[in-house]
Amino acid sequence: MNNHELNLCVKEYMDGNIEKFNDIYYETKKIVYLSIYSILGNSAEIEDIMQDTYMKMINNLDSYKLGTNFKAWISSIARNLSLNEYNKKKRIVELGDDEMDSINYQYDNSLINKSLYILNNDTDMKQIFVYRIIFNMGFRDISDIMNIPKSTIHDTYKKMIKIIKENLEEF
Amino acid sequence: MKFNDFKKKVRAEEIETPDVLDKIDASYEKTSIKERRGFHLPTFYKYAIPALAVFVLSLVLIVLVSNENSAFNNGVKSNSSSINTFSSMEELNQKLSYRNNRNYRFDLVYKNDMWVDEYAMAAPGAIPTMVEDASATPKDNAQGYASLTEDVSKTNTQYEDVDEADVIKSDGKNIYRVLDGSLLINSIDNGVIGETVKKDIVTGKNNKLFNTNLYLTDDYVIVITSLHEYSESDDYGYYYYRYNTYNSYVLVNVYNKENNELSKSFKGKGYIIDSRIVYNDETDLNTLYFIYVENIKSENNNYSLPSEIVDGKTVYTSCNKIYYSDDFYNNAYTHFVSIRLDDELKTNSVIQTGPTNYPIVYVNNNSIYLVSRTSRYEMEMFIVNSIDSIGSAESIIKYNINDGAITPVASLIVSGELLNQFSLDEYNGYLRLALAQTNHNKLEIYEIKNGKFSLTGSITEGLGLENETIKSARFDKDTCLIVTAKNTDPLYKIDLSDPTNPTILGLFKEDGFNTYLQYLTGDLIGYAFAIGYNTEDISEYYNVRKGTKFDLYNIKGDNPVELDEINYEPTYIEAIDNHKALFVYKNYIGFEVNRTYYLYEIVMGDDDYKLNEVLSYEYNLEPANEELSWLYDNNSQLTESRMYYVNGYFYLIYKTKDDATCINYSIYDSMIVSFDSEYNIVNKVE
Repeated sequence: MNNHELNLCVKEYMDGNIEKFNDIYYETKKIVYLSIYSILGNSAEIEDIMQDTYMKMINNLDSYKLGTNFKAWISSIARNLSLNEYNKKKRIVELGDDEMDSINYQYDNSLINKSLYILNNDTDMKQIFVYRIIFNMGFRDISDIMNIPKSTIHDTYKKMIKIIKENLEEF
Repeated sequence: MKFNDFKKKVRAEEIETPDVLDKIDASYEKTSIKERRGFHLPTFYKYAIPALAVFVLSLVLIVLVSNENSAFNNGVKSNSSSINTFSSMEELNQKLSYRNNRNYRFDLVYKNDMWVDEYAMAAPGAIPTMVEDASATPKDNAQGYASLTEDVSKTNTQYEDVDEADVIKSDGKNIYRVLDGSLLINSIDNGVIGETVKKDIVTGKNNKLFNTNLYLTDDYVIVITSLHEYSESDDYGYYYYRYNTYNSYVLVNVYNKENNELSKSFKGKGYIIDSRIVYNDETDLNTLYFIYVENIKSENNNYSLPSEIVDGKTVYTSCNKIYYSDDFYNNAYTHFVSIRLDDELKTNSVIQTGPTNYPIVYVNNNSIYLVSRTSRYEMEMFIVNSIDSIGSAESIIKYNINDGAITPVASLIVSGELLNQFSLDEYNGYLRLALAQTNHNKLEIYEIKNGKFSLTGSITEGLGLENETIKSARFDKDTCLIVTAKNTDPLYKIDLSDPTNPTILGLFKEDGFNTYLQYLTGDLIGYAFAIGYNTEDISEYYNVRKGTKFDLYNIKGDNPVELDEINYEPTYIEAIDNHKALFVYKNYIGFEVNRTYYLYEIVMGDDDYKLNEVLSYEYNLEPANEELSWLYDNNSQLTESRMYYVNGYFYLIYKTKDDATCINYSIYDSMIVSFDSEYNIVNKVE
């Protein structure tokens, strides 16, 4: 489904066709999942945050501007919720004696997991990896999702490519 | 693995995602927004409202279309032409001989509300190549600001995604410069400068380079130059080789950065006009575009066809692939060439007839505009307000560009003068022009309609006091700054948010005038700086330049406010008319004044920002020919100094010896000096 078709789905849902929610869900759940996964890794909270993302989407659909990039819009919701969760965990660690678990990714031969593991120290790079490399989003959309200037996205993207090339055995 | 293959594999990977649909169903009743609101739009209104809207819109369109065909728009009628190709050699020869042989003063008659040339060719039978204007899709053209989190500064350019060639470049790992026909490379690391590695660009003593510039991308070093092949008998003096363009070539060499080996070389007959590298963030591709002019040879009104050199052989382009516009002179061939800077380095080229020079080339992410100067006496195709208005006129042509594809769109003649590339700006499909003409300065806004430029809005009054002319302009999305001058230097701030109604918001008056304006970014959004001249009036109409100046402004409000000004004695510095000579990085600005490099930091003062000098570094420039040392006494020779910031260190590169008077203008020596964050010298290498 391309962005135009997805927007038609969203419009139909807004007009009362509640069955269209399923189409929206299945079309967007991969990017929602990866938006959360790239920040929190293999976390028990992933499903909860996915659920919260869609609930927030339903409640705030009035604020979505039809015709724009819906995946980018819902990704920004997922990202913000994930960052809140991440920061909450970090605060708990800072206040207590426990060490925060380092973000874990599935240990397999997937290029995605290997790349996220290599980029583990930089949340922005991981996010840009998801949006640019996996979903081929434009830098403008990524800038809107992450609320970071486009020039910064460019530069971080270039550094990200360099790190991947230097550390991934496939190169 | 190539990175493109990596991307394809990543995108093809299956990802197991958890399914939370049941949880959503269970936790929240799925209702549409309207049901939750309890509001439904009756079916009748669902169709009636859109139908009414279409009816009203049609009425508006009918009114607009009929207005467009009326004779005058604010007394100014611009002439815009479509761009066609020649249908035959006969037509090409006729067109070229018509322009080259006619009298200096055109014979014009006034017909149908405009001046027309009765001897002009009728529209040719060739199929017009009008294209949809791709720039109608808004694309954000960020200005030339350095990224705030980047560790490496860049050349100061008009737009961030459009790189401009320069004599010196750095990528943070190496400094590249061109010296006497060779490419010099020095590694840099934490202030330490490595030994110079030299690579010849051309071999043979009879090949001399001029107007040589560089580009850097992640993978390539690109040298773009004009080349003169001369023999010992070509001893006509200093200017000969520069102006004997029949023996000139354009050379573009693309070197692989990893091993400095030549990956591609382009050679064409003619001389370079300008170039850019345009980055497409959607496709992640850099593309080099360059424009060069090839002179036309003629014999008995039979004109040569344009040629290109392919694999060492000269290949001629047939006339039905040559574009032309009636808004331009047809004295030479203009070549547009693109090289996609990927693994394949594919080349594309488009040729048009045109003038022998384009003083201005403007490029953004989507378009190339070429500007050629003409005069009312030479090309009276339109009328401006009153018949007494005498001044210059500009011919402008637009091409769409996209990853190497180059497509002609339309051309236009406007009255007034465009000063430089900053006098034009294309934003959201609108072309904005700041046109200088004493007592008749204008700001005009055009859009493409039906394959031609159409005037949308303008400011024709109020720009400049009596006897003043626009001296500089800078556009930034919905605003514009314009400086006019004779006696005083009003800096105008203009609102462009409504293209049909641009409005002067306010102004700031000061002595002298600025030739270059730049909006600042990051923490300094709402501020701007300018470089210009201090002047002294000698009559009602004229003033003399008494020195140069550097200004800092607060432009947050309608009226710009000057925060700081620094004056210099010399009446010329390179930054006056070359924006690439400026070092602009975060809150630092640097430039050379008479062989002293000044670096300023913009810092917060008591109430607002001010300029703080953090470095002034002096050096000498010597002539290679000692007999001509007197030419260097007044310190007027340019040292073409540049500064780069890399990971906490400042690197200054400047000429130390040249031979500006020789037939083969050469730089013989240059120096690289590094400074740490306390502005202490760390290293110096020749």
